Parts: sequence; structure tokens; C-alpha cells
Amino acid sequence: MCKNIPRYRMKVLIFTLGLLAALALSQDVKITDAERTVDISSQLAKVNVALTVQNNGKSALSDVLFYITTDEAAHLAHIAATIKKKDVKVQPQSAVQGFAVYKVVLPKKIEAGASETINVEYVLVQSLVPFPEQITQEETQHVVYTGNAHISSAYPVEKEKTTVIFGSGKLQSFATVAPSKQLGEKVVYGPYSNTAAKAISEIRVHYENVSPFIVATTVERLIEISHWGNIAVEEKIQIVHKGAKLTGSFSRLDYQIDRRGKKQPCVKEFKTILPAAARDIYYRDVIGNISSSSLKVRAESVEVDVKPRFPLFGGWKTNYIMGYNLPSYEYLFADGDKFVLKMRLLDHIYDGMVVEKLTTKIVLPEKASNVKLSTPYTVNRRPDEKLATYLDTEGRKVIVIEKNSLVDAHIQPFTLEYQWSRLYIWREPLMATGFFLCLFLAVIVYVRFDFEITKDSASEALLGVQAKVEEVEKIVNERIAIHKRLIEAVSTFKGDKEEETLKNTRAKIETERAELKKKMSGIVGQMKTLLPAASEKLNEMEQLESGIVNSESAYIEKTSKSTTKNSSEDRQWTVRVNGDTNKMKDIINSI
Amino acid sequence: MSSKSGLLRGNSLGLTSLLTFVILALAWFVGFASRLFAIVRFESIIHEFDPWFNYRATAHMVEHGFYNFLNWFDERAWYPLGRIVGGTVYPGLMVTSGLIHHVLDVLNFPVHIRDICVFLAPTFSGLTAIATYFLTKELWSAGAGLFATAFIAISPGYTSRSVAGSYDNEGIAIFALQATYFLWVKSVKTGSVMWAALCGLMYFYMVSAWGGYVFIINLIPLHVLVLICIGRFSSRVYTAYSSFYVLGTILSMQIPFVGFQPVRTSEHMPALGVFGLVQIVAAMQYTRTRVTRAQFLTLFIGGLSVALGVGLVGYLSLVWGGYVAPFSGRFYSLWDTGYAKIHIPIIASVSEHQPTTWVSFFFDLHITAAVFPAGLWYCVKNVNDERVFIILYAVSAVYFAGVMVRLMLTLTPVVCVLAGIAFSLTFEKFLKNDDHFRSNSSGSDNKQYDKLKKQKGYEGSEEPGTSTDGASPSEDPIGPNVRSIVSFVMSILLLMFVVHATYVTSNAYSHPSVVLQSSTSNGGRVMMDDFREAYHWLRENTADDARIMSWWDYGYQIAGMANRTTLVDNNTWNNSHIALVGKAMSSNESAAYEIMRELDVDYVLVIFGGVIGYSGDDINKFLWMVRIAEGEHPKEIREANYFTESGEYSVGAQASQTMLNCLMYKMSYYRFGETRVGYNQAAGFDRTRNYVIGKKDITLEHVEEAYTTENWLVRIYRVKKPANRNGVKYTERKIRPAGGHKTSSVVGRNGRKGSLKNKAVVVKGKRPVTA
Repeated sequence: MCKNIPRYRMKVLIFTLGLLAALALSQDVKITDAERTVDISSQLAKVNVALTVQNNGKSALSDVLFYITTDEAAHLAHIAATIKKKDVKVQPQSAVQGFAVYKVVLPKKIEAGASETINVEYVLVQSLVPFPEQITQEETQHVVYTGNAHISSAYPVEKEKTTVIFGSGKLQSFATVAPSKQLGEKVVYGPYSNTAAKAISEIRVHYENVSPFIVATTVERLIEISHWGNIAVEEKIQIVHKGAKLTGSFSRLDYQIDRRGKKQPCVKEFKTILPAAARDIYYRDVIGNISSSSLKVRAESVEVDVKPRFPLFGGWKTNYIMGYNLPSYEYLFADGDKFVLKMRLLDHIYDGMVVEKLTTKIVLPEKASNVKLSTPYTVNRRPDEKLATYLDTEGRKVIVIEKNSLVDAHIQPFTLEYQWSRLYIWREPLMATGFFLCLFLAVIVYVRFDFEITKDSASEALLGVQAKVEEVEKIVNERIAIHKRLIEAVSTFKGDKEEETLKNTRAKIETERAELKKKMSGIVGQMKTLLPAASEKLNEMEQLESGIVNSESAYIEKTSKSTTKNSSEDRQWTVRVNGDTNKMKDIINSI
Repeated sequence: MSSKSGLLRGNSLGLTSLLTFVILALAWFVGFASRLFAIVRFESIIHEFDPWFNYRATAHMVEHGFYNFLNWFDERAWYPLGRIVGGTVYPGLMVTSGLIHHVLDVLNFPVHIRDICVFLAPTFSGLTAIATYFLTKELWSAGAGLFATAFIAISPGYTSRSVAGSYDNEGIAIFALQATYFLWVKSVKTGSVMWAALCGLMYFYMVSAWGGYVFIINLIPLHVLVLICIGRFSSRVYTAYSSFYVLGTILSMQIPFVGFQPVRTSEHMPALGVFGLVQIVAAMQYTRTRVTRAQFLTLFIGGLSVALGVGLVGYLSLVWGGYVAPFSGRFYSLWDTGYAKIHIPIIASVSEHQPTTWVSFFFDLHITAAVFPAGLWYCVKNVNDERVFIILYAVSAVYFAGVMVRLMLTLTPVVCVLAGIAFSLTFEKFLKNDDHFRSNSSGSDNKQYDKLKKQKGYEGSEEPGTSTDGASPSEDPIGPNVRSIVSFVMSILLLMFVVHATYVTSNAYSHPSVVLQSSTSNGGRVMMDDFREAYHWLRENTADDARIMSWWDYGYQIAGMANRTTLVDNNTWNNSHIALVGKAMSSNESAAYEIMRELDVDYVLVIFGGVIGYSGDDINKFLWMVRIAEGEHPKEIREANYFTESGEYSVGAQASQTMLNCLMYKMSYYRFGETRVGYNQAAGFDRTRNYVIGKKDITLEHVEEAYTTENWLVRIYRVKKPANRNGVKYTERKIRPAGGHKTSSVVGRNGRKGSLKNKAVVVKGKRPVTA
């Protein structure tokens, strides 16, 4: 929009505007009452300023400027304003000498002569400096807060008061800017009246602060969407204890017998709150699981007691990976082919957390298009990346978001819209099916077809022999069955002495045998060409068979003649038949 | 299994092969699944010590590529010497898992390299099972092969080295070993160059995977030698061995770590000698048909003795000349179990190099240990070319397994093969034709049946314990009752083997040893994660180039988990460096400080189990540190000084002053005297040693406690920078000259206070003389 205007002219323009504005402001706007509380009982400095702004000018006031000293601005992580408990917009402006400027955009203009109370909240991180910088294990941590006794104001202030809450620790010293006094856990500066705009008088509060000074230096949050109903979240977190550094040795014994409890200058564990639907939670690092953590499932959340492998003393650091799965129906909303993901850009790590650098990566399903991202606060969006995982062909689109310096207040949801055809869900199962189909086809083709260039007559002959042997086996089995039938017939004959039936059976058996023999001789003939050794064995078998048949007929003659039951002979004969049939089986096996 | 396939014999080929396939697949699956106890109980983690190095090397290779891995100079080990990793490892393991990782990566299956490493050994156990199947099938029958497969899949002796997470060379080497043997047997059987070449290739894989390849390169020549001696030499053996030896040797020399060893060390010389012998024998056979008997005899005796003499003299002169290295100490320690203890304490100090107890034979092999002699007996009875091989394999492996616990691993496969043969034969005998015998209630005259068995060479094939048959060969008195009882007992034995194998795998071999587990009085599980606690502390909270001194056992773990520089590690290649660390540990604090300053040590790490009763701590290993230090520094360190007056090793009240003042004692027990482990125990009661320590008020001068883990298992000490010298008062600071008021006593020859040599002297007022 301003591309055509030369830079210096822009500057001049802004300068003149600013000058005019300042002139106008100094005359017309006044802060009648200002109350500020600075909570420095944790590692953060949480500042809350309640300003009553009076418009003495002639025209209505549409926005109010808010100043923060540059010292503080360097540590500023979050700023927000409310009017009657309703959020209003805060916009950063170009800085003026010694101050960073923010503009509170009023939803309703302050008419001339009217006044309005505005609440501005801001959080400073890493502004409390440990003093002494290094402590031993037995000592407790003291820090110094440096600030301004006055409200950094763009307008003259009629009446103001600042309360510094330093918590339950011991107060070592504080700089006095009369009137100032200590009241229990607070130091009160003021009330001061009729302070000029941009007034500065430095204050220092030196006090004991035992709250954990841990900072997540990097948080890498990976959100992976699967349209099979799952959203996988993984956070890689690097944590440093940025309080007073531990000097000298760390004694495990002293640590174990230390009765100071939370006053020990170390962090033993902290609590991470995950979404209630979180499942399959894991907590590990480069070298494996960290087994010292516990999980509590509450109604609205899942609490993880994160216990690092070792207590974190000042200057010590650690890192870990925490991941879990979420059901996608709670976070992914669809309308036809249009999907909206609504999730937190940053999630809770511990109460009063400080994140130096956040990288959130969102892995979209393959072939997602028309991606639209809207974030609750300004972030730095990096170029998209590609990630190819399971069964991907072209890779998935990865949205990369970066932001520095975050606190609890930044736990807010973003929305991400994209288009994705529901038919794509069948891609991967079909690919897997296709792969296995091809594999099985290949095996089938390999097994069924003959790929040999030269004919291997030996193996082919072997196959032929195998087939013949199977036939022979069939014949032998039939023969054995016939023997059995004969034996039965003989035994029944012994019982009832009906020669007619025996004769009939014998005749039937004879014809069957003749048929089998014919078949057999055919096989033996073929076998001779295929495998001479086997045919010899078959011949041997034939001899056995005929032997059995002969003995059988002899035996039957004998039994038909004799009238007595000579069971011993019977048994002998049965055994013999059985033995020979076994032998036949063995011969087949040996072939 | 074999019984099934036995019954199916003669049935269609398809059904048999399907059954075989299913059984092999099941064996693979069972072998894989039974190795996952550690994953289920703990997590997907690399176990023990050596696997951590292998994992680190693999990760390095995956990250930097294969050639950079071969050229990798690891400056984080053996400080200040460093280690040329590429040239001192068997890269087969890393390449295998790197290849799998690469293939999966190309197919867009991102699997972390750690998970590939963790699951590599269980996966390869399935391949081992299949290789064993083929080997046994070649040696005996498919049925025996299936038995052997089932045995090797779950045999504790092999499982011990291949559970998930045990990412060590042995995990893939046993597969390579079995596959090489299978291909060797196949090539001896067929005499085909193709099989021999495949055998050479597999041998190459084995060489790239494990130092145990020396076993192969000695066993195969031994097989050939024995075949020659018993008159079974044939052209098949000649083809197989010649192809295998030439190809295998050339291929094996491609491994940087092996290099010229196959032609320059004594361990490889027998193979070369047999190669030469095979040529001579082949030449003899060739000539025998072409000359007369008398000529041949002269040629034979003369030629052989000359060849032997030349060979022996040549070898000895090469050894004497230094071209061929004589046998190494590790080799001698295989023949003389006392050798290592005297000459190489560092080898003797490793627990897995101790001689095997009888218990561990049973523990690792269970019923197969009792049955495999039967299988061996069958092989001896029905000997042929390839069975000679398995006999030699069995005999040598039994011997080596007796010498070293570690070599149980090479015994297990052959035991499984032979037990498979024994079981298969027994079942074949006692299960076959069972239905026939049932129908024939009064079996008596089976003369012919028996004779037939004899013809087929099954006679004498009974299990010795169940034999009733051998006594009366003319009759077969095995009645159906005996059959069913024997089959039942055998099945019970097999079931017990399964139970035992599962029990041993679960209880003895599935502990990562990185995480300790104990249980509370009410049955809860307590994880003691002290090792990782300490290593992670080192990783996060010490300078990136910090040097950590510890006993060599923990070197690989420190490098792998803490990613810090170590002085010594499990690759114990430099004995004197280890001895120096041992000396520092066993000296008093100021002497140790000097060593530590020389070695730039920043932190010292000791393992101390006194609080929780962990027996594998440094105090229990300390005597070996003293011994190894004494080996190199006999003047300063004497083992006897560390014993009590009665000659015992103790850190209790009677401990010697040397013991109580050494660095190891001090670091282990620093401030331990102030603790109480139980209500009714005195302060400073050591749970591992079960007595109160000798000296409780320990002060440290040159080191300070940097970190101690939750259960005191790992204690890390920081080496202090040299302290400032004691202050000197200003009045005392002036240096008083010794005699007179001369400020300097050194006066040059020419009376000047000092001069430079060859300094140009300017002589004024004279013109240089010109010629």
C-alpha cells in the first residue's frame, strides 16, 4: 500500500503525526487514578494496571496509548487489556524514547469529558534475576526485581499506587521511593499524586523466591491428522532450570535428608495437563522411557506427573518427549470434503510456564489442498514441508508455525481449514491389497509355470514315478482290503459252513484281483522305462502277492476240509498275511 | 511334527510342502515372539553393553553413510588415543540393519533405527531356524529338520544372545553360521561349484558379522582333512573345498578388520595347509591310474613327506620372520583354561569367558543336551560325507562350550540338529504303523519286518534308554503299550523343554541390565533406572567434550547413552590404557589425581551397589582392576596390599589401609557412612557385602561429588581444577639472593650477561678487509 512512498517521507509523516498526537494527548487526556499490582511470587512478573482515563479534550477518544519501559518490553511475553471484563484489542505501535508503545483500541469511544477504566495485564518472563547468581545445595534462591515505581504512562497521572507482591519468601531489601513500605508479603509504592507523563524512578526488590524457575527453551509440537479417526500429538520439550546456578557438589545424601520440601532450590517434578481424551500417553527421551511418572485421569483432563530423570538444580537441563493420541471427532469437523481442525497451538506443560521458542507442525493427510490457517495471535509461519510416512507416495503437507516467548495465556486454539476428498481414504488399503495380490500372483505364476531353459529329464521322471507309486499304493490298499474280506469270509464260513457264499465271495474276489493284476502289470511295464530299480521292487511285491494268494487258496482248501477249529493255524495265517501286507507297504515307502 | 510328515510320506507332495511351510513359519513366529519378553516387560531398548556400541555405530552409519562409517575415527573413545571404528569392527550387523532401514525408508516406512536394531536378532532367529532346517534336512531327513527347527527356535542357549534388544553380532552370526554349514554340506554332497560359491558368499557374510568365523575356517578344513584320512576323498570334496577356500578367503579379506589376516595369522594357516593338501591328494588320485603301484607308492610317500616338510618349514620360517603372526593369547586360552588368568587378566575378568558349569549346560539346552548324544550316535552309525561334518562340529563345539560359557552359543545349533535327528528317529520308530499294531493284538512273528528295517539301516536306532529291541534283534517285542508309553514320555519331555525354554527366556535372559527391576513387599513393581538417570545427566549437564573416566565395562554405555568421551571401553584393545585407568582407581587420591590430570579427566563414574544390594558393582570388580593395573605397573600396585591380613578381599573393618585409601573405595563409600539402609542396621552397612564398611569418614580432596543417582547406583565425581597455591605473605614474597648482592650468578664466557649465538657483532671504527 505504501510501496510507492519513499521511506524517509513515511518516517517524516509518522513523526509529525506522533508529535501532533502527543501534543493533543498531553493536553486532553489524563489518568485520574491508576492502580498497579506486580506479582513476582513466581518466576514471572505479572503486572496488572487499572487505569481510569479521563477525556478532557473536545473530541471523542477512540484509543488509549499504553507505555511499557524498554527494559520491561525486552521481557514482555503477553499483553492484553479488558474494559469491564471484556477483552479489547491491543496493537503494538512504534516505540518512543525509552518506552514501547501499545494502543488499546476502545470498543466504545470515550466522549469528551467522560472517563473509562481500562485494565491492562501483561506478563514479563525471565525478568527476575537470581542474586546471588550461584548458590549451593543448602542455600535458598533469592532474586532481584527491577522496575519502575511509577506507571509508565503516556499521560499525566493524578493519583497512582503500585503494589509489589513478592510472596511468602523473606524480603531482603527494597529500594525506597517515598512513600513506600512493606506490608506482609507486599511492598507498596505510593500513593503518588500528580506524576508527569513518562516518569521513571527505578526500584529494586531483593527477596527469597523458591518457586521453580524452569523454562522450556524449545517446544516442538507435532500434530498428525489421520482420517481413520486419530490425531497424534507429540511434543519434544527442552527444559532448563534458569534460577540461581548450583555451585559446588550435588550430594544425594543431603538431598535425601533435606527437610525443606518445596524450598529446596530444585525442581523434582511438575504437572502437565493433557486433554481429557488423551490416550496411549508416552513419556520418554533419547535413551528410552522415563519410568518415573504417574498418570491421573480426571473428569476434564488427564494429569501427568512429569518427573525428570534427575532433580533439576539451577543451570541443569533435560529434555523429553511426550506424546499421546486423541480421537479426531473432538477436534476435526467436516462438511462434505471440507475439514476444519481446531486445536491448541500450544498446550499446557506446567503452571506458570515459560516457553522460549515454540514450533508447531501440523501434518495434514496426503493430498489435502486449499489450506487456510487462522491463529489467535500473530505467529511466524514457515514454508510448508513435506513428510512421507506409511504408505505415502507423494508425502503429506506439513504446516510449520513458529513463535517466540510464550506463557500460559498463549494456550489458545487455532483453526485450520482444508479440503480433502473422502475417497482418498481408500487409497492406502487398496495399495496394500494390490501389493499382496501381486505378490501372491507372482508366487502362483512361479510355482505353476516352468521357467527352466533346459529340460531336466530326471526330475520329470521323478514326478512320473511319484504318480505311478501313488497308483501302486492304491492298488495295494485295495488288495489288502480284499485279503481282509477274504479272511472275514473264511471266518464266517467257519461259523456257518456255507460253502456257497464262500465260493461266491471267492469268485468275486478272483475277478477283482485279476483286474488289479492287469493294472499292476501295466504299471510295472511303464516303471521299467522310468525307474528300473523300482520296477524290480514292484516285481518282488507281485511275487509276494501271488505267494499270499497261493497260500490263501491252500489255506481255504485246508479249512474247508477240516471241520475242527484250529485257531492256532488261523492266527498264524492271519499274521502271515498281515506281515506280507506290511512288507508291501514298506516297499512302497522305500520307493 | 516329524511324525506327521512321516505319516504323510507318500502322500501328495503339495500337502507335505504346505505342512513344512506352515511349521517353519510357526517356528519363526514362536522364535520371534518368545524373544519379546523384554519388550513387553520393559520397553524397546538396547540391552547390556556391546549392543550399545553396535547401536551407536549403526546410527552413525545411517546418518553419515557407509563410506564415512568405514572411515570413521571415533575421537569419543579411548581418549586421548581415539579409535578407528571402521577398521576395527565387523560391519555385517550395522550394514544389515542399515540396509533394512534404507529399504523401509525408500518404501516410505519411517521406522526408527533403534527399533530395527532391537528387533533384528528376533527376526534373524527365524532365519536361523530355517537354515537349521535345511542343514538337518541335508544331513538326515526333513522330519529331523523340522524337529531341529523347533528346537533352535526356542533353545535358551541361542535365545540368550538374541532376545529383542540384544543387538549383538551373535544375533545374525548364528544364522550365517548355520547357512554356511548348510551350503557347505550341500556343496560337498553335490560337488557343484555353484553351491560352493554360495557357501563362499555366505562365509563372507559370516566374516563380516562375527569374529567366530574362525571356527568355520578351521572346522571345514578339518572336515576335509578327516574325509581324506578316512578315505572318503572325492572329486566333489575337491571341487567344494577349492572353490570355497579361494572364494571365501578373497571375500573375507575385503572386510577391513580382517584384511590380510587370512594369510598372515596362524589361526588361518590350517585352512591354507588343507588347501595345499587337497591339491596334492587330487594330483595323487589323478596319477594313480596312470602309473604302476610301486611308482605310485614312491611318489606318494616321497611327495607327501616333502610337501609336509616344506609346508612346516615354510610356516615356521614365516612365523620366525614375522610374516605370519603366531597364535594369539586368546587362542591358547581355549586350550589351557588357566592361561588367561595368568597372562591376560583382561580376558579372564570377563564373566562370559569363564569355564562352563554343568548346570549351565542343562540350563541352556535342557532335554536336548541329554538327547543329542543319541543323534550323534546315529550319525556315527550311518556315517557318510556330510555326517562326518556334523560329528566333527558336535565334538569340537562341545569342547569349546566346556572351555568358555560364551561358546555355548556355537554348541546350541549342533545340539539342536542332533537332538532333532534323535527325536525324529525315535518317533519314527515308535509312532509308525501304530494303527497296524493295534489291529494285530498278538504281534509275535515279525522277523521279516525287522530284517527289512535292518536293510534300510535303521537297526540300532533305538534310544538307548528305551531300548528293548536291541537285545533280541530276531524279534520285535515292542508292544503297543511300550509304544504309547515311549511316545507319551517323549512328548512330555518335549513339552517340558518348551516350558523350560520359556521360563529361562523369561526369567534369565530378558533383562536389559540397563534397567533394574525389583518388587515391593506388596508385589508392586519397582523400576530402578539409575543407569539412564546418570547417563542422561551426563548427556545434558556436562560440557560436550567432557572426558569421563570409568571402568571399561561402562565405556560403550557412556558413549551410547551419555554421548561423552570415554577413556576405555568394552573394545579392550589397549591393555595398558585400561591398566592406567585401573591404576588410577586403585591408587590413593593424590596419585590418582596426577594420572587423571594427565589424561584430562573431567568426571569419574563409579557403580556402587551397596545401597540396594546390586552385586555387579565396581567394588566387586575391583580386584580385577588391581590385577590388570599390577600387570602393567607392578611397582606401584600390588594385589597383596589390597587384602586383609588374613588374605581375604574385604572392605570391612579388617580392610588394609591401601584398600581404604584407594580412589575406588573413597568414591564408592563417600558419605555412605552417614546412611542407614535399615532400622536395625548400623550406619554404613553395605547391603551387597553384608557388613559395615571399614572407614566411614571419607574426605575428598581432588574430586567432588557431582551427581549420585536415586539409589546410589551410579556415582559421578567431578575432578577439581588444581587449587591455587597457598598464599604467601607479601613480606615473605621477596626472593633473597643466596650470596652477596649479585642479581645473577650466570655470567657468560665473555663477561656479558648473556648473548645470542651467531649474533652479528658490530665492530666500530674498522673497515672490513677486502681481498
